[in-house]
Amino acid sequence: MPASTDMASLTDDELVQACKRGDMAAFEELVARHRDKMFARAFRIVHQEEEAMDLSQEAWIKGWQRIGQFEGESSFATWMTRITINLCLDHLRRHQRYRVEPLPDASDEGTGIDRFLPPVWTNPTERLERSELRTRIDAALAKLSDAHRTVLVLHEFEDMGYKEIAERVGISIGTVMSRLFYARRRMATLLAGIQDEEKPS
Amino acid sequence: MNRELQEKIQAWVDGELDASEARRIADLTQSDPAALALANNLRGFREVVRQHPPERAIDASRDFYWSRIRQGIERAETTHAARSTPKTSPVPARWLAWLIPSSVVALAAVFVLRPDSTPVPAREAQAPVLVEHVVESPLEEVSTLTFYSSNDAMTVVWVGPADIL
Repeated sequence: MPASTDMASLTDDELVQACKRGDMAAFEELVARHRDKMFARAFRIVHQEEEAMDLSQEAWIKGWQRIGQFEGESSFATWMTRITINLCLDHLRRHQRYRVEPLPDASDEGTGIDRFLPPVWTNPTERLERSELRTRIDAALAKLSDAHRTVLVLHEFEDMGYKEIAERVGISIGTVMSRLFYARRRMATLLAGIQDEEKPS
Repeated sequence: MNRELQEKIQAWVDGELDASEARRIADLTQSDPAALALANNLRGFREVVRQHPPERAIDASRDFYWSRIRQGIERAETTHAARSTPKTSPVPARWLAWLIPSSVVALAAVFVLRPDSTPVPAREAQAPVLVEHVVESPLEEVSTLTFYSSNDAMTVVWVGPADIL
């Protein structure tokens, strides 16, 4: 078993093998390497720092418990990401945060949007600096409902197709399409600063 | 353009349509400027967002973050160990409720009614003597206690919960 000072020089695969032998120091090194990535992924979905922190830590606990099942068919980070996302989706489901709240002047997410969002799609991000753009995307995501943000995040950042999203979230493919369209449209509007109905008039 | 068509164009941009539908939407974008504009804007939006995923870093030290994980692991392992401890065969309380007293009565009756050809003289009367367990319970939750009273020429067997006897 390598000394703790050697851990940083080991690859993820070597650390995983050490974890399978019960070496918790190796697992600590894996946590240190990937903790920000897992936290960021949890945060994109739940968009609350404390929740994302708790969920990411819970994911690591599950990771340790299931490390024996990891067979290396993907990278360790990919495997951990799957655990993290599943935990976040379960968390939202448990707290019934997949429900879409009625929009003002609309009985469901599929109608009424055109009444208060401009029908024009523009590229709203020209001339923005990269870091500023990230900040604005983050802020726009925060303004989406959990239901809309989850679908958008899974599609754009986790590269999931409609069918996989539908299965993971427990909604129909039609609802995935509808929520994704609404989320993109709202995001684009917010990024462009064309109109933000949440700003005080 | 209705919402259904907008979502079809979105699905086309995302590569989610089958070949025939994809061809139909591709043809539409050639003939309908609004459909083409929507498709282009969707592509542009997708590209920009995917290239700029919001990043977040944990605002806590490595030790602090890890300590909570380690505690969680240890707690889970303790719980798991407690759960996996083999349990003794449970005896439902409703069975014990009547089993214990009826066993006592039955055993006492057996010894009282047993014919004894050599009654003990009065002068030899002695206090009840605790004897070795001669009746053993097959259940871990139930214990027995046996003693012999020479005054009454009777052996009594108490049957009760193991934690009391």
